[in-house]
Amino acid sequence: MPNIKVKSNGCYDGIWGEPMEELVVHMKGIVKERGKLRIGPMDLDIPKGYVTAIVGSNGSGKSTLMNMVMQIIHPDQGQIELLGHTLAGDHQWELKRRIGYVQEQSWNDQNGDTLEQIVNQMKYWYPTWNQALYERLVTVFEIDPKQRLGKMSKGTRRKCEFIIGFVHEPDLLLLDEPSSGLDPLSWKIMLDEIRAYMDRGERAVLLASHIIDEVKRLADYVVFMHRGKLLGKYEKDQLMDDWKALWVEAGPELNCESLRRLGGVMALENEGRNVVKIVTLDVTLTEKALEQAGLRILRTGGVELDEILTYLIQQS
Amino acid sequence: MWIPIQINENSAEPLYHQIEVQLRSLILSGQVEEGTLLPSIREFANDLKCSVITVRRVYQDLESEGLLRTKQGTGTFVARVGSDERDRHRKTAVVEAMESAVDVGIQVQCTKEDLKAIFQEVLDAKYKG
Repeated sequence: MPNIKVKSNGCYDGIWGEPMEELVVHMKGIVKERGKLRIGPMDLDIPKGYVTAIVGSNGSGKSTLMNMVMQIIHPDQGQIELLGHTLAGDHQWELKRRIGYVQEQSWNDQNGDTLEQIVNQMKYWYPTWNQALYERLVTVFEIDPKQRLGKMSKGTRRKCEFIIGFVHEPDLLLLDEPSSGLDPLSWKIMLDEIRAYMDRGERAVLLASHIIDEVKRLADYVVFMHRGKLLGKYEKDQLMDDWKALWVEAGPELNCESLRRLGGVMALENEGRNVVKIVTLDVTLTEKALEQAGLRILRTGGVELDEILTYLIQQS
Repeated sequence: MWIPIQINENSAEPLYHQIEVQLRSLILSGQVEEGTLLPSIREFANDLKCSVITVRRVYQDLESEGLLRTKQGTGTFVARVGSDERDRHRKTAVVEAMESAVDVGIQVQCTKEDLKAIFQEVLDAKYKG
């Protein structure tokens, strides 16, 4: 087995022959005040060729983060490098042409427009506009391009918004709660399209979500946010591997509280009948410690991403 | 194409390892034939709900074992597996299954003789006629 060097941010270091990560977004020392919420200070790198998901509840600051990447708002402090260019408070239109944004909330400004009207303006603005892709998506999503957006159902409108943000095949695709309002079949189609788009070139997706299925299906990296603070960036599968629930045989003479001090233990619950449930962020470490203490593991279980976030929030 | 691999999220075994073991088995047993084009890394990752980092690792590990080969621009294919290797794999699979069975026997406190008798019973029943 190769000797794996895992950096503190959970990223593997290019040991399997692929080139070192190129970044689409590099944020340093970012601070933004939004009413009562203070976002940052934070550093965040979004690598090319991968899907990075920002996971957090509503009000965690993830949409604000997306808006800063889109240059819709600017940070109060800190620096953002986007696709290799430093953002300096002025709008860099060439960069905007290379980004696609599917926002969480619909634009009321677009209520009176049809998809056809919107698209007719857009195709001249984006040099990478893919007409064939547009036509295929309109068919596959069963959209009437002559219908006004304001008159559409939520799901249909969402599909239009996706097409608008997606069809120029941007270098960076920002998705804010993409599956919101979608029926399962449409979501599956969207997932397939995002996958095919990633396969067609060196792109990056930045996904903001609090829906676990979205994150599990799409994400390679996960960034946790809570109340404007970054709780950490992890490689998704490493997280799923490391965090486990262990049910341990705990005889009456065992001081259960002492188990809390074992390496990796995040939480402990006495379930009665001589069984203690431990949640660990490092299953290998905790298993070893339990073995040394002569304790038997009865059962192992996975820990879901939203549970992991809860534990990280508690710890912070 | 669909490859029958199941991830057990409850297991303490890392994801990449679970996938590797199953894919290796499918290839060595011949269930996924030589020359088969495997799904793209991202397609496979989506199917399995894991990241491309994991799938890339699996493809690269199995390629260095000689079970897969990648053609730049086309994809990853199942390589030719020698019959020696197939036989070795068959034997390993059976040995591992038997070891698990004996472990269960030990857990419920069977003796060696108990287990031999049970094994003979099962063998006779399965190879009947």
